[in-house]
Amino acid sequence: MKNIKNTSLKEVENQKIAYIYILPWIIGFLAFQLYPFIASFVYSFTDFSILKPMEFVGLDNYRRMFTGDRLFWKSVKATFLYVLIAVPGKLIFALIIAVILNMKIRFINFFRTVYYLPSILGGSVAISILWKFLFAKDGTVNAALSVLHIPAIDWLGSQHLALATMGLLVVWQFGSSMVLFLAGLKNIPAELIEAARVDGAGRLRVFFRITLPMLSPVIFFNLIMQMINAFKEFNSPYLITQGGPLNSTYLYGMMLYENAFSYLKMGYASAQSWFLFFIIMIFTALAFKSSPYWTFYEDGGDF
Amino acid sequence: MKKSFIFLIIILIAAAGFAFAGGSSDANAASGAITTTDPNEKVTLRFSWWGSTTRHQATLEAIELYESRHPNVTIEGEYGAFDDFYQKLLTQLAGGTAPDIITVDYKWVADLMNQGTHFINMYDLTDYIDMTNIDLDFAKIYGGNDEYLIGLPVGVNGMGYLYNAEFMEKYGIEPSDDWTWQDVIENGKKVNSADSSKYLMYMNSQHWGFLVKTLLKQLTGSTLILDDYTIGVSRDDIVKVFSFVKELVDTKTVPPFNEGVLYENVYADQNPNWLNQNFGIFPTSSSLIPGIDNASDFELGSMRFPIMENAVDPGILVTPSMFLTVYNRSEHADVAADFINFMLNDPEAIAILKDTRGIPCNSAANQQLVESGDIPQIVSDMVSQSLTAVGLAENGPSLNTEVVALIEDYVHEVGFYELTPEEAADEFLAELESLIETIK
Repeated sequence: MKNIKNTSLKEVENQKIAYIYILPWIIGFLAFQLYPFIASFVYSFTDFSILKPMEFVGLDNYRRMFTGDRLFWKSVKATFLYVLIAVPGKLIFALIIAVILNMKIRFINFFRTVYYLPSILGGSVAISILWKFLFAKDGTVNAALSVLHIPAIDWLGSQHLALATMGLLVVWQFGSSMVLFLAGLKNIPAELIEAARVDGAGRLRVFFRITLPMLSPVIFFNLIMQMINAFKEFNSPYLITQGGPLNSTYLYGMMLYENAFSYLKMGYASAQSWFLFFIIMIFTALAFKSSPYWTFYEDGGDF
Repeated sequence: MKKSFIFLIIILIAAAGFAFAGGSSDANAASGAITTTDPNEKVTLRFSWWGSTTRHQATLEAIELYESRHPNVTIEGEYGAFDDFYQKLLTQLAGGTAPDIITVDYKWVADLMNQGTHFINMYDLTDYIDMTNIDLDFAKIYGGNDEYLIGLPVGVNGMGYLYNAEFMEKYGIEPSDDWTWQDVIENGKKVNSADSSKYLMYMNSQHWGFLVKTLLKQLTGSTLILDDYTIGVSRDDIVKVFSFVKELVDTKTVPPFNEGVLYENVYADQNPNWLNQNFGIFPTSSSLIPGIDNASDFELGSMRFPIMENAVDPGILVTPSMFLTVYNRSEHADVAADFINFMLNDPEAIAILKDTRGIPCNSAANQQLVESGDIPQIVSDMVSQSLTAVGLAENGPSLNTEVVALIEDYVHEVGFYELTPEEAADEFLAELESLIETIK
């Protein structure tokens, strides 16, 4: 009896120490995440404009967002389309490169570094400007195409193509997903593949029957992370097209930013950001619900 | 137990949120009572401005001169590009950390004044700043009213047509100060039929906005939105203006919209087609000329902005280039005001700053720079051309950022042939009405 009491006291003591250790994080979380999170929820019911004292307007912001804003649904549509282009594109591309870089050849580490570079540079202003020049009507890409006698394509000037062109920039920043895939590939036991080969499976069959299922948890993780990032995309539309042509690249993040900081409608922007949060939560939940049907965990997948 | 604890924290934080929001309104009310700073006290002031390298260098040099005369004062410059300057300023004002001396663009004044008093009333600073040579009536149009003036204007900015002289000569176009819009179209056809890769003129997004508002003034003598937040023009007027936009595209006076879209947010100095002499004219305000002149390796000229036949109002925009303001939370407002006085009135400072902030509003400074030959001919040309036909001043509602964005959007719908001028006018008016409800 005495013994048990001693241990529990010690446990309490340990817990206290543990809390002290994580205190900096807790403070940071409360001040920089939970507080803004709740504050923005409160603001979403006000006409808060950064500088003026705010007034409660009830559900006005939400009502205007869904019924009275000419750009809202256009932006939602563009954002979904963008996610649909960018996420699968990036994952497939990253996987292909990861498979290639998983080969045992000389200077492989050099290649891995080089292929990771775009992810570091991709978000920068300089790359966006470079992208502009590459895809301008008289830009490098069209010059290369003209050698092949393909007429000039209006990559960023056409409202039908601009979004896809911007998607390419993100696909090109495949590095972080690639590194995860590469790590996942390294973890696949060589015996499995060897056994399959001995049983007469071709390379493609091995890839689809062994590599992909073994990699599915990594794919799942990448899917979630990339989806969230794509929904929040801000840099490329802001730097390359400013939302144009005809607002076809006016992604959600850009709309939020303009409403909050250019039009001084912080309350309205807060309401919009809660809707985005809601969308992201739904899609993340859907991904989790679907995961038992297509992901495979060696340990059964119990968290 | 645990759940209720978390709930309590959430309530507390939410309460703090209200307290914060209430607190910021109190801060606004705190008016800047100006105290006199002891001349031996060490004072550090922050001064924010935007601009190009030439402006930065001249300003830093002027600051050095001021510091050498006032050893107790240190002035820290916060400077960068124009893009995002406003966003940064708004966050600084919200956080109460804005610089002591702030540069404010005339386009923001109405929005800022709607957001409460964050800047010391210039009329309260007459003891510190000599305003005798500054045209306060002009300052008032864009900077406030009879009771409150947000800042003092530094330069005068006039709108006009900047042209590439070689291009105009090559295509036999006679620049003149009495072009009508018909002349624009005729010459536009002339250029493009001589060489289909050349266009008479190109406009960035911002200028399309100016064009629509100027045409409306010339047509009706009224601003788009009146001071009482009602629409000042009719559907017919808007249809006419949008039809003219379409005509500019139809006649290939301006390049097709899908080619211009990448350079919509930059000026001519960053547009390769301007630099490669594919365009003849860039409509601009005079303060941008030095930068464009620097980048262009051909001769430039300036001509008056076109005015339509039988115009009700000449419509040409003449505005202050920027205002120097004092933040109302500045602890040394008297020193800040003295520095503004130095920038605007001191002959040595004027000689250093030259025309880097546009042609000075201060008539004595203007005189001094004309005599020393420091104002480029082309800049003073554009300003004097615009002064021959000054149009109705813009008002707060028409300058609202969101209104301008709406105009630009519908110009694009017409320019991209997505909507006819009539359809665009109907949609535009409906959107404008619902927008006005949210910005009143």
